[in-house]
Amino acid sequence: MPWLTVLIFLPLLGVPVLALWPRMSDAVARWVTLVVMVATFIVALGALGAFDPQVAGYQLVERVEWVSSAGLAYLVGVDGFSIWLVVLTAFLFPVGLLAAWTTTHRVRLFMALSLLLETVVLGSFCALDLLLFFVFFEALLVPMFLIIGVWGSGRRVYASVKFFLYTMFGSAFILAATVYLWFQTSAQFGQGSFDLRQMEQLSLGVTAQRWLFVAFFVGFAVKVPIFPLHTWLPDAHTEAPTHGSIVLAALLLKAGPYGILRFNLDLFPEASRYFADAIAVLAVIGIVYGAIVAMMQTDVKRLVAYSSVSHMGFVILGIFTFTTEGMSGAAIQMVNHGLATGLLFFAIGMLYERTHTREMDEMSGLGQVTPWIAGTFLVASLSSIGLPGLNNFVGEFLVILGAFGADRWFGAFAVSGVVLAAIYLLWAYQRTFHGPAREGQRGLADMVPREFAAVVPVVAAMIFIGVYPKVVLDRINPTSDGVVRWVETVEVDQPDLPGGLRADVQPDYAPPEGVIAAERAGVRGAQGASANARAFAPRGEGP
Amino acid sequence: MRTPISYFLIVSGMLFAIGTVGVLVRKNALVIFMAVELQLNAVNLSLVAFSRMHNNLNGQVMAFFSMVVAAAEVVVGLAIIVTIYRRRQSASVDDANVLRG
Amino acid sequence: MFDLAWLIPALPLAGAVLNLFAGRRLGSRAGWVASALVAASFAVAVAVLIDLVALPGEERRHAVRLFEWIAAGAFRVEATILLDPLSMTMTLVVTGVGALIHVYAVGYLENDPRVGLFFSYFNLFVFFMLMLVLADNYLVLYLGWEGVGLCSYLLIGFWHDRPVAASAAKKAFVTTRIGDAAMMLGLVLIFVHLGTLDFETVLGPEAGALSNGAATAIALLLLAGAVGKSAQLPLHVWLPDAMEGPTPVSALIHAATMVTAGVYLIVRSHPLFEASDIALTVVLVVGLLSAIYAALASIGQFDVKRALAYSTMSQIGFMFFAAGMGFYAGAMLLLVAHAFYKALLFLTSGNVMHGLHDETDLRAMGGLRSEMPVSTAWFGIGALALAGVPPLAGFFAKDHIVNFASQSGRATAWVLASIAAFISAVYISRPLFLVFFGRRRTEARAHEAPWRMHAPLAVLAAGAVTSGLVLGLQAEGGLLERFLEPVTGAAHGTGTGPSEAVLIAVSIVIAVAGVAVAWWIWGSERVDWQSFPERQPELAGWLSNAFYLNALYSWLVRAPGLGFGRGLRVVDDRVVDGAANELGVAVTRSSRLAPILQSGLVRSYALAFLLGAVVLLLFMGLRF
Repeated sequence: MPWLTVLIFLPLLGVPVLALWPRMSDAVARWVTLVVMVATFIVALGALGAFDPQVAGYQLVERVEWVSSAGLAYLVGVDGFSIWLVVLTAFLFPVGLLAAWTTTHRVRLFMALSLLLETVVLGSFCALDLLLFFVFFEALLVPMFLIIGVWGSGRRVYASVKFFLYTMFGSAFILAATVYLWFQTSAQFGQGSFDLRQMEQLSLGVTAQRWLFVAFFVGFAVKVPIFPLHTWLPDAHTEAPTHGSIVLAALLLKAGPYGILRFNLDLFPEASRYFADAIAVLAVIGIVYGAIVAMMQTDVKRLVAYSSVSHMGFVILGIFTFTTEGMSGAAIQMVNHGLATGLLFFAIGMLYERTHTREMDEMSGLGQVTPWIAGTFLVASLSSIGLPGLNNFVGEFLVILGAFGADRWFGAFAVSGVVLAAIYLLWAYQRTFHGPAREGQRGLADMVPREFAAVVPVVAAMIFIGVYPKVVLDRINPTSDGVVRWVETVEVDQPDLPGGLRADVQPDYAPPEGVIAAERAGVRGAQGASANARAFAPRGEGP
Repeated sequence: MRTPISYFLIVSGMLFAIGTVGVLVRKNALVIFMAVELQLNAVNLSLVAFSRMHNNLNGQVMAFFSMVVAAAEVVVGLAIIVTIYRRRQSASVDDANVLRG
Repeated sequence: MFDLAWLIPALPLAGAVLNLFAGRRLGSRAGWVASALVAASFAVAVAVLIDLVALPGEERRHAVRLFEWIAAGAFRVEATILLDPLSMTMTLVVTGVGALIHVYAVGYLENDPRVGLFFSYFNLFVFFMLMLVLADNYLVLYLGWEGVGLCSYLLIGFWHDRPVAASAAKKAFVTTRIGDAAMMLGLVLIFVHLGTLDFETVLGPEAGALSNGAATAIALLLLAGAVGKSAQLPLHVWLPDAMEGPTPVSALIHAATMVTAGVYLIVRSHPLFEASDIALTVVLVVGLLSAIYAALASIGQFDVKRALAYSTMSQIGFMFFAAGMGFYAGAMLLLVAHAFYKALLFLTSGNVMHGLHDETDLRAMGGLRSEMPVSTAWFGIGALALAGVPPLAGFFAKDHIVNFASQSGRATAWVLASIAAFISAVYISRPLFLVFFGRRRTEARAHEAPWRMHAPLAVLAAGAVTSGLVLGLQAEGGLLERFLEPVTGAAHGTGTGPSEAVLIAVSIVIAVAGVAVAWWIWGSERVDWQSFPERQPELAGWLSNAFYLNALYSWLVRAPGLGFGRGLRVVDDRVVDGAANELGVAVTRSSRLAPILQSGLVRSYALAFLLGAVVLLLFMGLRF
């Protein structure tokens, strides 16, 4: 069964139904959307079941020739990183929909856009063809732009335009680099191609690789966002409707680190090593800076938005440690951040629906009035804080472990983000839910069954990943092992040739035999210590 | 004896020049439209002529394509012109300048 | 029985879940369910202990593997329960004292509408505490460590409509988190150097192979975690504020169990501390300073619970002091004894507050012994036990530690510890006399607590009286010392200094003298203690504000931190975002030039098109 194709286009099937069905009532539109989204989630679980945890490479690959003369193809597949993002996407869209259930403005359009967005997000996590990825990656903007711009609040137009321009700015670089790579494949293999697996085989000169790396990196860094390219995020998150915030924070932000993992590391291993320290510094700045600025916010949604800057810093830091621990930590952290931040925005959405404000100064003592909402917010906060037993801890700990192996200072500074997270989130919790209840807010209703239906699965997933992350990590580890080995061992030592071409076309990217043997042998204990010592050897001194 | 290719090209060039001048100097949208058609057909003529010269049918096929496209264009273009005329009681292209920056 | 050991933490967890979701339906039965589950957990622990004791000493270590928790790369951690003398000692304290405090809380929170939630948190606390002490590796320990911090946060802020309680809860969590973050770094360092977090390897012979620098770094980072959790200098500021929580919470979490987790951590990790040449000395100094500092601060408090909180800090200081000398069994004995008598003291003060409608000010009490005779007895037993009057528990526990200082040749430490012991006897007798003896200073009518609040107190009092005798009476080292020996090793003094008999005599004199001094000042009515703050405003201020450390931190951290944060926010808005917005404005401005070309006249476009085509054609023509 073509799992991925069915998965990607199933939501899209709902769009014409919503658009063309004459005089569909809003209620029916909601239910149709929900059914489609739940069905998509079931397909995603099917894909997860068909995924073989032992394999490091791409799986469930489907390829359809499109314009063969130009090497264009429809090519999708997943590996240990993307399969979880796919599952997360399919999981969170129904949750987001439940948050938007009470929307009354142009419901059918909203639902159609939401389904379109799901297709596009799934597509960008599955595409293995650079051009196909680019199309999906860019197409993310359109529905999101409309969702913020039409259903947002306050300065929604400013926010949506800002979001659009920032991201477009970044992706222009990606497109240019992609086209350059196509010409390289054309020159080196005699047949142009956007196939990622072929592009990996390109031999690029050092300078070319570094420029290309920067181009891709800038594009993805805007999405992550990495300091100092983050300022679109608070505005977009804050003005977006709850559904939009959830999708934006939990899924769209993941396109950034995912792109870096998938494309930057795969295509430009040498440049990745070269820039690793600089990027890790930016990531650490992001962790601390985002946390401090978050602390000073009075708008609870902005606060959570800045906390994303801080948490995504962990993901980037983990990637650029180039240790299996850090890489796996970053990959699982993407999922964790999606769940935790998604739930935080959901809780804020519930509050906003009731109090019509996001200013913490205008809320107080809601813990007595709406204890279940308070509990939801608290669980999500605790997860963000990195409480062991909840999901975020697993990722954060692995990232810090990996960062420490790369450079002690990165680990030490990253840990301060953990303390600051406790301060800003608990402070927010206190300002919102503690203290005496306000006069006008005494009679607010607590969570309704619809909201429980959304919250309970997310909380369950958070606890599950916190207690038994093995299910997730088992599928991630082979892939991160592979990526780390790839990045650490590919050598580009030839001087530059004109056009960034290297003399020998076949790069020697197979790691020396000894490394693999040592890695396989070293399982635990005494043997593990030696393998471990190697894993934490300073970067660049590979065997 | 075959007519030399240059004859066709000269006629085609003249037709194209007439069309171009028509587009540039006339104000009435309908006339401009006809001038555009003239340009298109000038090109068609040269396509057919080249086709004959090379003894293959590619050029003639191309001419058919452009005729079909021209027909489609006429349908859309005329519809627009008629709509504009209804709104503004004028078919002058200089009056339709709402896209001025 | 070992295979059922997972029940020990699982039972309280089940209680937590049950009470969270069905608490409202259970109503007043919630507390009994919670207590029964903790008691059942205690029963399982006793059964496990019996099995464990049946094994010969060196084999008393059994790990029950549950499942693999986190694995990535070379990192691998399993959820495993460790059953050995040390973990069982802690487990019995946690479940035993915990069950008693649960029963007490049933009566104490009778009229609270959210009693189900309370017991859910309470059970959850016991679960996490058990995970902490039963862990077989540092990560599971850290899980428990953070979990008890969370429960402490939830329970301090249980009455969160009071802003003071909410702030105190946050302060407790954040302050301990600073230590926890350091501890997390310590765990990472352990893994970097030893390749695992399992106790068996980390605390085995490999610990000795660590370089001195690495061992010192690891030990000090772990110590930072212990200092935060156990409220020692300099991370102690949260503990007095934590008294905003309900009194059973103060008794269970902030006296008997959670705050002693730091001691447990040090005792458990002692091979790491011993591998470093200075770490144990730091522990010793921190403990001794905290013991004296908190003892002095306790004298200045007029809130009975705050006085007891500083007392807890001081007692834990003694435990740190013992551990710092390598006398781990002594630290554990004091931990056990302290759990009994401090829980007793807190709960009895809860009785008083209950009887006086939540009054906590010592100045508004006095002479309650006629109305609350039973409580007077409990508090008296607890206070005398803490003061170190023989043959109560505190005597054996503290006496061993102080004497060990002398016997191991640390004369200065012995003098300082003796001074601290003297102040302890004074500060703990002070609330005894102020509350129950002397003149009535309030109009309010007190009433004695109901029987089911006394029943657990009776058991605790029995523990406070006998635990020292049973566990610590020195024949060949106390019972507890011999039991713990496989884990902690034996501690031997160098046999210098005065003889044991002299030392014991000195410590009895100190204890009795302390009580006597306290009676003379606060019990005999001969000293006008009430006007002391007016007569000596400076000294009284230093004592009651605990040497202004809290204010100092506020001044050092809070204002500059907030200022820096505000500054950074402005930078973010104006500079980082401002640059982007300015760029946008610049683009908009420059685009004003474009309309000149955009005339809207189709014919001029066509002309431009034509010219362009001509230019292109010319260009191409010229090239060929």
